[in-house]
Amino acid sequence: MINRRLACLTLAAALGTTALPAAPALADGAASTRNIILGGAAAAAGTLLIINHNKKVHEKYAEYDRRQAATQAAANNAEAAYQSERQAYAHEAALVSSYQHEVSLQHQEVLRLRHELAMRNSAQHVAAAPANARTNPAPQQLANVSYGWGAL
Amino acid sequence: MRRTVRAGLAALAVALAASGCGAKSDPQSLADDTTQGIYNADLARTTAHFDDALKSQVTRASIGDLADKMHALGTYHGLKAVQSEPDKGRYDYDAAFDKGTMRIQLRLDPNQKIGAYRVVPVVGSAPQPSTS
Repeated sequence: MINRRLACLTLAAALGTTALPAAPALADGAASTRNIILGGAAAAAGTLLIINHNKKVHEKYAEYDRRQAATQAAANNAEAAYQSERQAYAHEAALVSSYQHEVSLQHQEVLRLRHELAMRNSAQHVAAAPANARTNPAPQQLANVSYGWGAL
Repeated sequence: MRRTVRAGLAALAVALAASGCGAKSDPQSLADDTTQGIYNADLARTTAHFDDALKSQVTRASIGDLADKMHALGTYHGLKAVQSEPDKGRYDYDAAFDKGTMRIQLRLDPNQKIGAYRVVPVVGSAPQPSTS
């Protein structure tokens, strides 16, 4: 900011100098040559200042662009990282789903085996008793007393 | 992982099939084995299929008393199924002797151990045993 103000002031001074009413040119050749040299030097100095100012401006814009590029790159990296994380999560979710499916199959298998075991035991028990045991119990009269251990 | 699980399931299936095909775990075999143990006054054989709670109630004296009641009917010939309620673990059998029968009442635990074993004399099949 200060550089810009200095450049502006210098430019204004240079322009002002050129704009001032010049002293009436003397007729001698030495004065004329001196005036030409002074004018050329002032013009060169103004041009240099302008060039320097433009250079600073371009440097600022370049820096800004670099910063933007860096920010953009960081954003791109973050996006890429997010995509990678998302893909990893999707893979994990698929893995968990497959595990759940496997557990479900195992559970069904256990239930099936339990059912099979129950059916086998039931078949044995039914085979152990006569088919008409419930409907036609033996016509025997039991005593009121019993011996043994435990409660039925 | 899956191979291990499958191997485990196969082993489980074999174990279940083996347990389902067990020869001496049916209620009538358990009752017959126990009855023969009592008839022979054999404590170990009598309590072989009892659960822990029932084992603690059995004494040699009580086995001897029950064996005397059975011997009063003569030789033991075996059991005949009379009634069964598998869902309750209840099974009734008639024990045949030379001179009569006795009703054997059994309650099985879910683990196929005997939780209760009672003997009921059948009226008219033999002289009434004295109560004890």
